[in-house]
Amino acid sequence: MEKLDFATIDELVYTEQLPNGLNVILIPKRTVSKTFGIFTTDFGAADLEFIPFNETESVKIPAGTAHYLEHKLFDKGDHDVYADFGKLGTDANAYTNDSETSYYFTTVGNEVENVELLLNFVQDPYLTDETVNKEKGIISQEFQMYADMPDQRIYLAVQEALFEKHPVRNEVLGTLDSINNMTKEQLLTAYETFYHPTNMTLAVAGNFDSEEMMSAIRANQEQKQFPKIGPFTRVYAEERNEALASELILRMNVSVPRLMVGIKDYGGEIEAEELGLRKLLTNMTLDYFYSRSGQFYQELVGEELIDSSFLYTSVIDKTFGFSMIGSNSDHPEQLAAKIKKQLHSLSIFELEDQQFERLKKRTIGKTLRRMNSIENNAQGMIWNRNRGLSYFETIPAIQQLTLNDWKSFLFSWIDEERLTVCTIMPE
Amino acid sequence: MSIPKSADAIKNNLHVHVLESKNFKTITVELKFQTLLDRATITERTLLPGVLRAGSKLYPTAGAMQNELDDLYGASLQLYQSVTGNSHILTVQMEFANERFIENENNLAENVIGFINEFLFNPKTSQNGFDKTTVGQEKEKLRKNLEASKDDKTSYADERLMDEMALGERYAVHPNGYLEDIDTITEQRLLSSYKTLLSTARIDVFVAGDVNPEITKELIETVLTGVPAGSDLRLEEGAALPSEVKSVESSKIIREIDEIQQAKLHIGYRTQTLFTDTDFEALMVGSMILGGHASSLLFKTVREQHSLAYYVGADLDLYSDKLIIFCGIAPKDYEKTVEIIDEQVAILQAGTFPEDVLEDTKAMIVGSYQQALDSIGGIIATEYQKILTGTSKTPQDMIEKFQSITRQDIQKATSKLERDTTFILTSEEGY
Repeated sequence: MEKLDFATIDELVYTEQLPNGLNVILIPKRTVSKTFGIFTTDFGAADLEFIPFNETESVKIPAGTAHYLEHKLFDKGDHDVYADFGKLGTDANAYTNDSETSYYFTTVGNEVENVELLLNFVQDPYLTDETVNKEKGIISQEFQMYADMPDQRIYLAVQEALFEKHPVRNEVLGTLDSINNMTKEQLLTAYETFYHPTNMTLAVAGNFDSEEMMSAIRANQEQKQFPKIGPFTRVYAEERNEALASELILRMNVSVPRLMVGIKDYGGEIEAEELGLRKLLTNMTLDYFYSRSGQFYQELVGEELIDSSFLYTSVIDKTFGFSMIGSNSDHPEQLAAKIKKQLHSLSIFELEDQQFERLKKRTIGKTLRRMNSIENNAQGMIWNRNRGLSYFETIPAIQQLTLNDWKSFLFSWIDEERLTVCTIMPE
Repeated sequence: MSIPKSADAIKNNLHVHVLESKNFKTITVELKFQTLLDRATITERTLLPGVLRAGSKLYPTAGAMQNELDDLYGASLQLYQSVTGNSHILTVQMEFANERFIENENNLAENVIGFINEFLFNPKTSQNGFDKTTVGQEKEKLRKNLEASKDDKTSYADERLMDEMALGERYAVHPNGYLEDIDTITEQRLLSSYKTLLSTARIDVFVAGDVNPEITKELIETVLTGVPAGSDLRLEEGAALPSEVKSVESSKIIREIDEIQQAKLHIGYRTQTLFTDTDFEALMVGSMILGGHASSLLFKTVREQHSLAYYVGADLDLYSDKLIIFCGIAPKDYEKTVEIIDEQVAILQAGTFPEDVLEDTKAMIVGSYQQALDSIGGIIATEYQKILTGTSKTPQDMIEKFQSITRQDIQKATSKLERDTTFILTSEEGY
């Protein structure tokens, strides 16, 4: 068990890789009452093709497989896992995004039992044709729920317009077709590779004894047999640099048009150091230029181009990165032109040290607020470690940023070819 | 604005609560202005957070406000209004770094409270009104929000259900205001409405984090000097709850058609029970058993057994006499879903639910109360709940009560449930 002491931020972390390959992260905090456990596989909606260990041919799985599997792991045929957690007084849940699937619980008391249950249910799939078919109605309703949400639709439209081949362009749930045609065999194929301990991390944060917890986890894993496998290879088709479409217009039952400008940051693999830097600088840049207190937002409000639905966001990851800025608007064309013009002006924006120092302080304050939460810390540790980054050293990383780092980021951030404009118009 | 600055006035009008906890890397200051929810003022109130956020005398633009926040080591400022039961609450919340975690910083707490005092009690005004441009912009934003809010089908269904079910009650007032009121609001009227709010609201100030209670109380009293003099109208504890519960004369069904893929079914029940009643905890457990988690009666049947919905649940409003069942279903499945829901409510009321669901639910609800004090938000909310409901029930009291609840207690409490209004938003196909 390796001990990492982040004294400046008052956090202590223990890590260990078990003989079967499983990564374990413990973040004890004896002054809180609850404990949060999360078991994550590095397998998300955007993992659709891979070459299994010791094989030469690549295997393709349908869109929505990761999410479907997430639903099915809770089903044990004669009972469901919610009931098992319920007996411990715990509420458990799970989520799937483009790059990972996570199962988690929050508890007060019975910490070890909850962790064992979490490991056991994820590592013991029960899949039959009958249980797989039963889920089709439920996931189809989940799909229809999102289909009625314009904000979901435009988010997805941006991903579709930006990426040509990268599977991040797919909806996490897949399509109604892929949901209704899902088979037990497809789910098992994905499970065998992506749920092997070598591809998974368990993180536990909160009120427990680290020694006792780690021993229980070791003992739990020693009882189980996993095939000895080496690394598998993820396959991605080469992705163009440019956006697939410069414009995409949808029609939908809405009262006000929605407009979103998308930026394709990149569509291929980048190194850890660059990922860390890009993630910080992209978020800081968006905060600086598009937050509600910024000059640009005030201009847009002044010209009545936006309302309070205005938002910006970015997803920066190992093999893809994209950002988006937009709002409900009565004048989507004018708003798009204005946002694009502003984005293009950034490469020659006059920047001063004082502005950047303020922005760094703002970002540090925000980071501290985020680190109040043991849930954020467990998830942050997993995300960063899986990408070769150190979560609890985010604040020193911000402090070390220089004005030149920001200038060079802004110089090449925007390129007309990598932009898209997506609109939802009333029917 | 005439503002008396004596320490006595402050003590009379501010209820200061210092909540010490060493678990956090930040300190939170929260001011809550509570008044009775009112159809006549709700639209004005909705505009206030945006107008106040846009600048004050000393920090005349949103940019100047943000620069000051950045200089306060990235402190965050949230201004929002909300409705709890019968009351309207304007909240000003600032969260800032504990100086322990950053270099070369001191007096942050004092500077943050000073900043609140400045922008809250010295807003940017001209000609007896708020800034004209800002008010115009906020009105326009609100208009667009209210127009677009119909696109969120779930909250639309919630609102329509309450329009019908709580007709004539204070509770039916739309928390985000009314389109038809926007044009009548001038910058003068809005400023006078704000002054009225300041002088009539009950003001509670919470400071939570790793702080010294004595020093913090003194800081509030010496720095937060802008609070206006008191008034007899200020609310007492317990004002969020209605004074009486209602029974159902005849239950009704409201259908609406929209172009949607998924129908929204929302059913409102009267509980005949308030937070202050001795059987409220039993009702809470009953509501959880019905639809509060993934092993609940509704989840197990509507979703798991019949695959009719992705989400289904029951929600008990702690500050009212209402319980809502909600789900998203295929339009054609309406009849079948209602039938299953009725069966499950009947099982709850007859007390014939499985023993393990009862025990699991109690353990879960106890766990969630134990966790409440692990977040700054939870610590403040727990304390404020006592004020809103006028009870001295602590989380520990409620936990003990939950643990002792029996099947008979739940049967007794939930037998009072009466279906009031059913609202279904569906497509042509489902009509």
